[in-house]
Amino acid sequence: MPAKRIVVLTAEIVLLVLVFLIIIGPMMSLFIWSVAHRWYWPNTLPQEVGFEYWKQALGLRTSLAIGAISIIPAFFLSLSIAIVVVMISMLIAIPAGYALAKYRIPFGPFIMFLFLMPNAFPQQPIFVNLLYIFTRLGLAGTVKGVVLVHILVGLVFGVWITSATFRSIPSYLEEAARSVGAGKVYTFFHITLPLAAPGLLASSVFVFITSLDEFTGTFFIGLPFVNTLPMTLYSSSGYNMQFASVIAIILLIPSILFMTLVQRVLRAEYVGGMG
Amino acid sequence: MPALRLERIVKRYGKVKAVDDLSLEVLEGELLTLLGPSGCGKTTVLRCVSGFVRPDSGEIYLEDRKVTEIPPEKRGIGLVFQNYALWPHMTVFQNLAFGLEIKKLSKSLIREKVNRALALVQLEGFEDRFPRQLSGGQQQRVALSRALVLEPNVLLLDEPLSNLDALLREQMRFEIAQIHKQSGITTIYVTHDQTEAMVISDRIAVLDKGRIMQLGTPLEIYSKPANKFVAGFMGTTNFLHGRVAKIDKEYAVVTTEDGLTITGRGHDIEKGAEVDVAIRPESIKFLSPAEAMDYAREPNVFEVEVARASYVGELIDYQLRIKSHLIRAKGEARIARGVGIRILIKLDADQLAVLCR
Amino acid sequence: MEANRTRRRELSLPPYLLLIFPAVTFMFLMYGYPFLSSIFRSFINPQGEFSFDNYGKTVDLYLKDIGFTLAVTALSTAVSAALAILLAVYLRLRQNPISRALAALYKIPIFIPFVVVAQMMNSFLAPHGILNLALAKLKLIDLQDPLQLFNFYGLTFGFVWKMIPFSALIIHGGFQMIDNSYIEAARSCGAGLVRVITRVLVPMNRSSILVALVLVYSQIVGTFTLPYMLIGGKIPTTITVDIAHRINYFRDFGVANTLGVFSYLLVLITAIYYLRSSVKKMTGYQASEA
Repeated sequence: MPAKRIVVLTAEIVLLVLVFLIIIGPMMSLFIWSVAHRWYWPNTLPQEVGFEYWKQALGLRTSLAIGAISIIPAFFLSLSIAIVVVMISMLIAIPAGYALAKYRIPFGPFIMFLFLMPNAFPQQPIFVNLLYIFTRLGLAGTVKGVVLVHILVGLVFGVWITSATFRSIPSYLEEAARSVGAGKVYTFFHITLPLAAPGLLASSVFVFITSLDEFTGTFFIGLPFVNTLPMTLYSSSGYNMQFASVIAIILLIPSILFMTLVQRVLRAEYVGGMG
Repeated sequence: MPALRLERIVKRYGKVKAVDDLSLEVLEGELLTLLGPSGCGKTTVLRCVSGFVRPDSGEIYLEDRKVTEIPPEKRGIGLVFQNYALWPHMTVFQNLAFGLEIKKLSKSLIREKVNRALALVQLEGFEDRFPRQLSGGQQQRVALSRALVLEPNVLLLDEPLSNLDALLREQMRFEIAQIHKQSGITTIYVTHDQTEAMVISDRIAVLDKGRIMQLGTPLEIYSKPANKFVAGFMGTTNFLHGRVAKIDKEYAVVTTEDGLTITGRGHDIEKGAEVDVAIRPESIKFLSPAEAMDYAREPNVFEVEVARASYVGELIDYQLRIKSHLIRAKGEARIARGVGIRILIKLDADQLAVLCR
Repeated sequence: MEANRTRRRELSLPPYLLLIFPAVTFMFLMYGYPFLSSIFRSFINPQGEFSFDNYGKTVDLYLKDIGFTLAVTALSTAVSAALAILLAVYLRLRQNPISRALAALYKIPIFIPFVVVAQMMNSFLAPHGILNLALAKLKLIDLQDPLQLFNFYGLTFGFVWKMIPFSALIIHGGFQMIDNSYIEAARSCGAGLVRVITRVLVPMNRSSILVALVLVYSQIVGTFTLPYMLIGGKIPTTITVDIAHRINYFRDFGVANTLGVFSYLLVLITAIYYLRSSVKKMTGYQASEA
């Protein structure tokens, strides 16, 4: 019945448009605000647009507007923290992921339990108590403390993705290498690691982005001295819509970019690691 | 009135014609098999009948009712899938009752019908089992009974036995043929296995590249293949290429390039036409020394050399060199003919098919 | 000779111990210890003694907020799951340019960090933000009296916005594993769309749906960023915001941890289910490799 097909098709198109509006709407709000110079209701669009706030954010122009500062320092801080976090996290996660994938560890379930708990329970109380502990240790409000917290958040994903990656490499490939005389370490570096490279790379990207975007942990441990990009977003949010939107976009773009690229490799593992 | 009629069905996938202007009539109560290699379009045809594939052009009639535009759930067809598709979260009873509940039958009537259907496939008492508790053969029978319990107008089976091991497959073949006879439902069966098709079918449609190559009873298909494809598909067939030298009623005398003269059955063939002679291994008879004397001057007697001999259980599979050709033959295992031996064979002209190129 | 050989075997450590040591130690120190201490410290009153004082105080001050958190979480989870299932069913059953466009589109919010989502919602749901402006243009509301969304409703919208794609991804993954033949078998038995969804697709995908529910639920309970930036200190607010206030303004770790324990209680059932089934699945992998 052609009539039925037309009805179904129309419904599908309506669905698509609706979903488009709902998803793009809030994003549009961000984009428009970032270039709005003057925007008063009831205009649906700003009266005046320009890149003033972008220039202020990127330090290209100084301004006395409240909350308008160059975010370049915060950007570099976030970036350097993220890089350090990735390096340390992967250094810890890769061996752990390999061990979990390739060996039958007697207390294996207990270890998995430990790594799964952050997914099952709220993490904020952990940050709160870390604050308590770090204050005693003099780590509160320091970059070191923030790095440690970011590693915590990233490690959980890191270990899951690396172990899933290593598990997906058939052991007979390694056994074949061993059977022609390669030792365990040699096999790892020449067979296992190259095959695991895409998954490990995806894992690194994941940890990197997680660190860049990390807010809650940084909020509790880092305040008031460690100003990462998310923290500047938060602090300008109440005062300066345009500025906050600029920072939000700067945070948004690498996240979407990297995650869409990585999603192809991560598909099952990402969902698997989170499920 | 045919139970099912397909009229000029065409289905394209991209540039490829999966079904190419195919027309077919399935008679009431018969079991018709769609037979062919993978990619021949048999599954596509079946899915057109079931309604899960929409033909690009052509019409489908179920008992004179045009169903081409009607969705699958309203066609009243029964489907048996290759992987059985038994819902794992339901018991055997629930699997069978599913379609009956949709028809809003009373609980007692449903129970009665389910019991009857299970009895038909000899699975009484299995109602409360889950599919994972059943063997492959049992799952197959549940799938069959689930289709039958709805008493459909047409039953469609899509390679239902492919996932079973060889022994079970042979057993199930006969069971399916028997169930078909008992229920009398018009059935279309899809398979790539010629033996299967021969055993159970009333008629076979041999398909290749989306077209019907031949439609007929198993005997017709096997003994009177209409073309090279059908002949080749229905078993290991040797083909010798040559020209028709003479026509003698329903026989054609063919000469090959290297000078062999073979007589076989042919129709609609003209003198001088290029043909293939289809020679089945079982039409090749080895002549004992005594017979050699008697038959020496008969047609279709040739001297061959044994090129290869392999034991295949109770038979020996031979490769015989005849002039410039190598042909396959079968012989009893108890008479060993070693490589290099020269012997006489006779080809039974009635079993040879001369086919136009 | 023999004695030496056996002794050497006893002394050698399994190789995985070294590989796993850093990760496990780190998790113990940075997660395990704070977790236990959060529970422990909830029972320590300001005088440093073991008591239930904090619990009394928390219930006095924050019972409404605990209820609020539960309500937002329950509603958001239910709505997200329901809509995600419908979306996933649609994507499973249809294969055309529209469904493909939708499949690419719906995943976007998954990759947007909560901080950015919070900011988006801040501007989008504002009294004179785009949503209200658009509704006013459609003459559905009056701009003098716009929709106030920095509350339960806006928060639910924000959570649902972020969580539907996430759940749909997981649930759709589960649907993809259901072979077409199961759906076709149902249709050949006469089942229409609704019955195919309710009797075949959803029951056969139970595990993915449950996983999505559990993860969404515990994620929402634990989210700080969105409620903090959207609702902030207004009453009522979520447990996470209250915890932050308790720390930032009062340095009151006792009550903060008590609130934390309440949030643990809210997720206790889902957490147990999640941990049990995940560990079972993981040991299943290990066993199959044996």
